[in-house]
Amino acid sequence: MTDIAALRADVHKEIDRLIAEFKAGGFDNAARYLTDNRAAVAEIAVKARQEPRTRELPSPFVYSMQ
Amino acid sequence: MKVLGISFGFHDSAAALLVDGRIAAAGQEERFTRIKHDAEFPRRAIAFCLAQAGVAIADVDRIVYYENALKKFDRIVWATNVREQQRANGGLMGRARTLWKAATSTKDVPPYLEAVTHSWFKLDKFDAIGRISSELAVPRDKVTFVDHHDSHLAAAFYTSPFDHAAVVTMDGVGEYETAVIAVGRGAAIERRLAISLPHSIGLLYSAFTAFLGFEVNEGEYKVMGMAAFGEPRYYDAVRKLITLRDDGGFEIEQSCFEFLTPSLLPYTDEFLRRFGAPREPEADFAVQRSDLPDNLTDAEAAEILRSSRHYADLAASVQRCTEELMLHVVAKASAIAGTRNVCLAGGVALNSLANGRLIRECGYNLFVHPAAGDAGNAIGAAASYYHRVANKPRMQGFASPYLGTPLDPVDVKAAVAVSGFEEITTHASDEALVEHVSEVLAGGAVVGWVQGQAEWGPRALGARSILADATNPAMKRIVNERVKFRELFRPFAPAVTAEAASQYFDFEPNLATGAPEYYMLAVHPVRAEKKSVIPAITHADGTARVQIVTAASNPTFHALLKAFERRKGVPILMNTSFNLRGEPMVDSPRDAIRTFSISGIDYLVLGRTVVSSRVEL
Ligand SMILES: [Fe+2]
Repeated sequence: MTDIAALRADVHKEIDRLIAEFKAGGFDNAARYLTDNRAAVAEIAVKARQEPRTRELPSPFVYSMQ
Repeated sequence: MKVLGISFGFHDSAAALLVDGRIAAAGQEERFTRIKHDAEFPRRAIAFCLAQAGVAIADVDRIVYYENALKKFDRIVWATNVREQQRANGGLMGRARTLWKAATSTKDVPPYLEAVTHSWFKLDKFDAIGRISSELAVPRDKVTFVDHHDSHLAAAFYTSPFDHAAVVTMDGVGEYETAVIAVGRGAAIERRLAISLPHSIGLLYSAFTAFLGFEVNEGEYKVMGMAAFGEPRYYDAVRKLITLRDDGGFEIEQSCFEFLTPSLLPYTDEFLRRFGAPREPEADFAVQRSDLPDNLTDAEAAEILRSSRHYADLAASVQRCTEELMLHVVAKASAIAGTRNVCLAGGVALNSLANGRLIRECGYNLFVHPAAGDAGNAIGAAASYYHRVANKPRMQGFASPYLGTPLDPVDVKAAVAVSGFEEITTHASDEALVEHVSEVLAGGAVVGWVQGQAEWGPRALGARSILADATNPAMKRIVNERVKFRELFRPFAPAVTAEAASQYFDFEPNLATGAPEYYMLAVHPVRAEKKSVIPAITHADGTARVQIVTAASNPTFHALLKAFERRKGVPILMNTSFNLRGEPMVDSPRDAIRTFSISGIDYLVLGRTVVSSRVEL
């Protein structure tokens, strides 16, 4: 498996786990978002995981809410 | 039982260790890393807490994170959902789009949600528990979390001196909630009312903070300071944005704000239509021609004076409305709880002008957690778990705000030795120390004062302070030019002996432990006849954010105030935090020496060691 394929497989596993956790917690908005947009979210996650873990703040206001 | 509370990832990271119901240590990560508002995992704050208490991480029974990350993400999705629905209904500008159709490409995820999802994966925010477990190498089942406002409630009530109190939290937003009213009794906290997004007084205040050209989560104090120069001329316009409900809750009109899916600015075009153009960051501010450089033309000067007045009036208006809202929520909370004891936490509780009114005008016995913002949730998370999950008896209240890094004489010696600065002397007693320091203060010197354990919370309370003569009318300018570089509208605060406080300030200090004035969290008027006596700490509107000091709360600082009184007749010193602009407060002797070396402070006092700014050749 290539690195990227392995990363993608990890991300899908993680999304499965998150969906289960969101469902268990009664967090239906998030559970539905991940379920309905699974492919898109996986792409976002793969991209995010390839970047260095530095934080760039959109703006202090936005940051304080996220 | 040992419980470690942690907050990180959003605002000021912090850690606190609760050992058998006593706060053994607490610290904010920024003080150790020297990065202001550091939000990273609080490795060093945790290490400090464990070392301070002599506890190994393996001996900690539970590690508690201060909020529910999954619930927070659920809110972010919900908020996007609401916005998209509004767009689809044509209620907002922007193209209509179908909501939640299964997305096959990231283009189908709304941009706000895509950005947040990206940053949550990138920074591993979904799994705070896993992150803590791997960072600290502890089993996952040792780590848990409590909800954001449960942390605030616990920080407010369990650390207070009250057995029975109304407990109120107000902040920007936690997961969904922005304010909670609860009743605290013994070891129990019972929630009675919660306000959720998009209704948030913290976000409203932050929106005006941003509009007035200040940094959110930092510049709120500047809004308060600026308010003193204005009249609430825009009171009606701001007040219209707020509905106070009979049940103690409130609603914020949404047309002016973007609190659901903010991209850059928290206010809308409608806001600009009502309140005009935002103030440029760092724009000139002046209340009289003499505040401005001579080389300006009269027309230029007049324009700066006019706009300063306009923005100050806006600041005064939003401040007045915020006070009204806080008084409303607290009045209802007090009625529900059936007591005048009131505990506050959440960032809004740092509104010291409102706190002063709650004390003076309403007569509440007020307790405000000194680190009322999210740093305080490190203590709050641990305390909430301890009482509400572990069902332990009520913990000890907050005995002292000095919970941080102790001053180690060995470190002092080492830091001074390599600094090149002249050590004048190391006194044998506190009596000799305060005689010496009061003498140089009375002579007009600016003194860096580092004593004992560092403060918990954003205010310097005589452990990591810069001190100066409050009776000297030039002192505000001197301290500003030499070290603080603050805007004109930021006042400097006084420390006063508790026994003399009411002679100088228009309030009766409640000497019970935990009164907000011990933590510099309430603003009171300076008595009319004293304004000219203590001009350096009297703000434009004749008020001051007072810190009271007793022989019990801080013996050395109290002795210094008394010694200064013997020289100048006034037991009051200007007390501002020991840091350069934009930096966190100094923590270690090394930090203090560094700041001392690049500022115009005359003397540095590290414990009983007095250092002069003269360099030894
Ligand atoms: Fe908060």
